[in-house]
Amino acid sequence: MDDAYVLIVDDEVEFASTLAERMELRGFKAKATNCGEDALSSVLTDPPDVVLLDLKMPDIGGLEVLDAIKSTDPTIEVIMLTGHGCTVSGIEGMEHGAFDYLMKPVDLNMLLEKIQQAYEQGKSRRMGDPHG
Amino acid sequence: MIALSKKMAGFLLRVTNTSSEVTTLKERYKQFRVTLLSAITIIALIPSTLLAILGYFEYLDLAQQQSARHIRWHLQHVKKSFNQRLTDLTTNLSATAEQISTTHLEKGDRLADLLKIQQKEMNGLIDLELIELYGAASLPASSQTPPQTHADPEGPWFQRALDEGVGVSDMQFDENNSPYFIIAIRHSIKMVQTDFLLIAVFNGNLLEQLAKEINANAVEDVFLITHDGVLRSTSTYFSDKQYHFPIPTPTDKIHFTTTSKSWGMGDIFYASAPLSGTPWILVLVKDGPVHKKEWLTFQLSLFLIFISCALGSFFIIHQLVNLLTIRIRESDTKRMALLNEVGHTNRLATIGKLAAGVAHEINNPLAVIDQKAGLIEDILEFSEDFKNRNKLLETIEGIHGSVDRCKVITHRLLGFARKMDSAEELININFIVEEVVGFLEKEALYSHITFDMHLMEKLPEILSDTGQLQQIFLNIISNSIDAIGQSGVIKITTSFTEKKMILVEINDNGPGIKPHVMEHIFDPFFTTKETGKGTGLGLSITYGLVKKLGGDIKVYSIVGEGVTFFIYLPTTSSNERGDNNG
Repeated sequence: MDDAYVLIVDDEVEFASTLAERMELRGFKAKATNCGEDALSSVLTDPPDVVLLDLKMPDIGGLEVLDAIKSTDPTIEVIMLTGHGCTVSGIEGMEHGAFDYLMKPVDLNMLLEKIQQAYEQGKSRRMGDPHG
Repeated sequence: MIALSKKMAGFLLRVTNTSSEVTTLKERYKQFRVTLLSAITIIALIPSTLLAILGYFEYLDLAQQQSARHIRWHLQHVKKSFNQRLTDLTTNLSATAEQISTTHLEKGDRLADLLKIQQKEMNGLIDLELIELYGAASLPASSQTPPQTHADPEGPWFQRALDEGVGVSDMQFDENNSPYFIIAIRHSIKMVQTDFLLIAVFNGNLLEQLAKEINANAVEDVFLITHDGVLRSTSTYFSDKQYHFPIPTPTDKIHFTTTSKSWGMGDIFYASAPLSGTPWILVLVKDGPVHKKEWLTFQLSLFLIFISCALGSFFIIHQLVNLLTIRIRESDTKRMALLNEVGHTNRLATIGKLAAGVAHEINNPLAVIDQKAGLIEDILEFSEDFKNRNKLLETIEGIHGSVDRCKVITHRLLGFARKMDSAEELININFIVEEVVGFLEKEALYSHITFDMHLMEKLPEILSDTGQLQQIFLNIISNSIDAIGQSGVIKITTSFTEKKMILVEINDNGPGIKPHVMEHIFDPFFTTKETGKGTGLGLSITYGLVKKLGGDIKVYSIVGEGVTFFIYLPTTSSNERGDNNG
């Protein structure tokens, strides 16, 4: 868990940075980005283990980013964060390959649990998968 | 003085300031009713009016024709009668003439005897005279002593008697101004081949008598006139003073004429027939049908029938129009209610969307607050103890608590908005009740109203629509809150009935509902709140929703103790129930 690298993608700047800080305090490597483009370029240059992805973003929609990440590296697990309150988009995300979804405001402990689960899954997939 | 005028102004203002909308609406329906009533009445009455008019004139025409026919017939009859009488006389005279011998010519007293005999036979016979034609006797014989002669060779009767054998003279007056007329018969004494004229002088009254005799029914006026129109017998129409018959009558043929005084009124029919062999014309005068009793009866009947038809129709039409107006008004009201309901639903959907938007907007800064507080917490956790460390940690807890409260509210709001469209899903009623109560709890608390929940454990889940159920409970509980006003308890109980229905009882200890209000409680637009404070649609919409879900809603109340709403919800789905709109 200590070597888990979490990429946080959310257009709410304060939220992303604060969350990243808190995760760092807990021993994660965490980076905050604020738009889909930055997130994708970051994935390409420095691939994370788990991505926390906000659904609603101004430039590229969350689902598109999800698709892009999954096509780049399917072993990267994505957890959707939604303030929509709409289970529909959450389910949609799952269909596009997201690991799970959480509603904002998010409980940190629950989030950490999910990240742990996602990381485990990603790792096991990497193990069994020649793709690296 | 000023106070009075102020008072008056205020009164006028209040009177005229009635809701303009309602007045217009009432007036509109009144106008509609009046217009429809007038239109239909007029249209309905047109046929009967036309028929009445037609009937009137047809009858009049018919009656007049009948009168005309009758008068024709009667004239013929009267004429025949008169001719018969005349023929009787001439026959008698001919018989008398048979008996004349030369002795009569010579001796006047023989004639007198004959006269006496004949006077017994013929009424009105005054005198008999004989004039020998082409004979030696130059003086006519007369039955009178001293001998009188009425023979007047100038008279047309004289000539006619010579030519045709019979001549009748017009009425003449003797020196005493007594009327008389002459019938002269030409005959011959067979033995001696002597022609003579038997002149019979009759009393003028005989004519009068004859005229009266022939008038069988005495209904019409029958009288004789000369060719010049001078009356020779009395007429009821034309008094004796009026010696001349005013209507021109042809002397050669039978003639009918009528004079109409005005439209069908006061018609008088005149029939005239010249009597051949006499200088007279027989005249028949008859009143038109107008004066007959039947005519008046007819008019009265017609009028009565028409009036009763008109009144009857008017009454029926009036009732029908009233009924129609009421129906239309009802239907208009229903339509408005429906539109309002739709509008209401639309508004709810809009509000829902608005709420969703707001909730979503709030969620983001909430997340920030939460994380920031968390970060502070983290930092504090990792720092050394210092003076106010615990106090700070406690404070952070408070922040987290508040954020959580906000989260509940926004999530609930979003959940509510989400379920605006109809969807069937497995629902736990208790959950929905709690959700709705959660919504209203805080507000209710400000009015010192508490909730007493008795939700049955293990209440079966049912297949239904969350949004609609939320709305139903929201409406009822809101009503209860409004009813209580200040200080009260709303008790909610859920249970499962024998008939496999879920029962939700919502009871409040407010003032209750009066029986006469109870009847209308689910009616649209019905509200006991003051104008502007309630649309009166809440319960009617609720009723509709419950029915749509296949359930039922009942209300029970004791005035002064409170109200209980019983909401029954089916456990079978709409498909299983086989609803029309499945």
